[in-house]
Amino acid sequence: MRPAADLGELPPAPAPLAAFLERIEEMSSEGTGALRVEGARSSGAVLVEGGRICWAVVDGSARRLTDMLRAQMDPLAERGAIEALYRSCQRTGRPLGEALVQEGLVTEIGLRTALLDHSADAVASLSRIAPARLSWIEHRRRRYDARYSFSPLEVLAAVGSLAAPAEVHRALEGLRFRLAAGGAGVAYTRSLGFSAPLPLALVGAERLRLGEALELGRWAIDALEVARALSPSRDLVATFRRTGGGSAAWEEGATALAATFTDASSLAFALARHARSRAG
Amino acid sequence: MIGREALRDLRARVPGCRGIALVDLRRGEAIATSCRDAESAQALDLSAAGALALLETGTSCSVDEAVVLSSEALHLVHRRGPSHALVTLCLPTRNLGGLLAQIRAVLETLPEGGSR
Repeated sequence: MRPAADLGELPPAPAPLAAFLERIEEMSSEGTGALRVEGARSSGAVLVEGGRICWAVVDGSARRLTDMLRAQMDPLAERGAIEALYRSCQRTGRPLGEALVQEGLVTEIGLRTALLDHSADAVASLSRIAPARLSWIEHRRRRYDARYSFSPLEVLAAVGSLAAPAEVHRALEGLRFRLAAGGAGVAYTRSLGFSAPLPLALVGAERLRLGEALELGRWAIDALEVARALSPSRDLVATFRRTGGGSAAWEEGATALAATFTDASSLAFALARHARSRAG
Repeated sequence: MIGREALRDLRARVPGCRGIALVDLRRGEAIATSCRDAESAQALDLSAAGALALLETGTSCSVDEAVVLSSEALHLVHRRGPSHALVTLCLPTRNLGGLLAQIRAVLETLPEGGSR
């Protein structure tokens, strides 16, 4: 293990979480390692591989994962059973996630959801440490299972979904229905009083970078506002690019939804589906 | 070379079309208009005022066309060169894709450029 490299201080508010995650996304060439965050009263680390988040933890709050794993279990396992398995894994070196899935205590999707929620919760807490000192500790070996690593955008959306859970289901349904033929869609909550839209659900957006998703959200809010001046009952705005493809934005209550398309036919499909859903 | 006669002809060829206007994007004003009624003319004036913002809001890519869908109308802003656009106001339809295709087919028959 190499000595920690000092990476300076976190950018200040108003968007410390997005700035923190963009910092991680920029580390795609840094390989595998731990990004340590040290503040006066709290600290923690984000394990990063190729700009993706494999794990995040606030020092002293390790028990939260057990609760998140139990939330994914059906039937519910006793807390003691998980902890016994955890101790067994510590002894044998077997990865806990692999053991949980193999023992049938949780599905792969359930494990992924619990790990994502746990990392999102920890990253949100770490981003609030101010002032914070960042350092990077490189790990020489690749150690993380790609199935259980997350893009910074996924983590930001998980933070949004934890903050506005009531909006998630409807947003996902709306995005999936419209994007069945393609496109990258993001739902943003505006119910939390943030000045910028916060992603809370993603469909087909795995390749979007965090900055692209935030720009799409800003465009959606602005375009919907402009369209309101044209028609107070406006329901959807879409733009078609000369190079093919385009973007669309619409609303479901306090949620703004936006999608970007690389070809005109998937955008036309989304518009047709939208018109059909609104016609009932 | 799009004058009022040409706009009237276009409106007749687009199904459910309530009005169509050639817009000066920089001034946000209709240069020539053909409308079914005064209400449509008012809606087209609003579209003309917002046309440039719709085409340029927050985008780094060149946008050719913008669509605003509401329960009462479909607004289509179609760029015509750097400083003009055609704004079409239609009744809403379940077959949105079909309507957009029909409007585009009609607009493609027009010569390039703005108004005389």
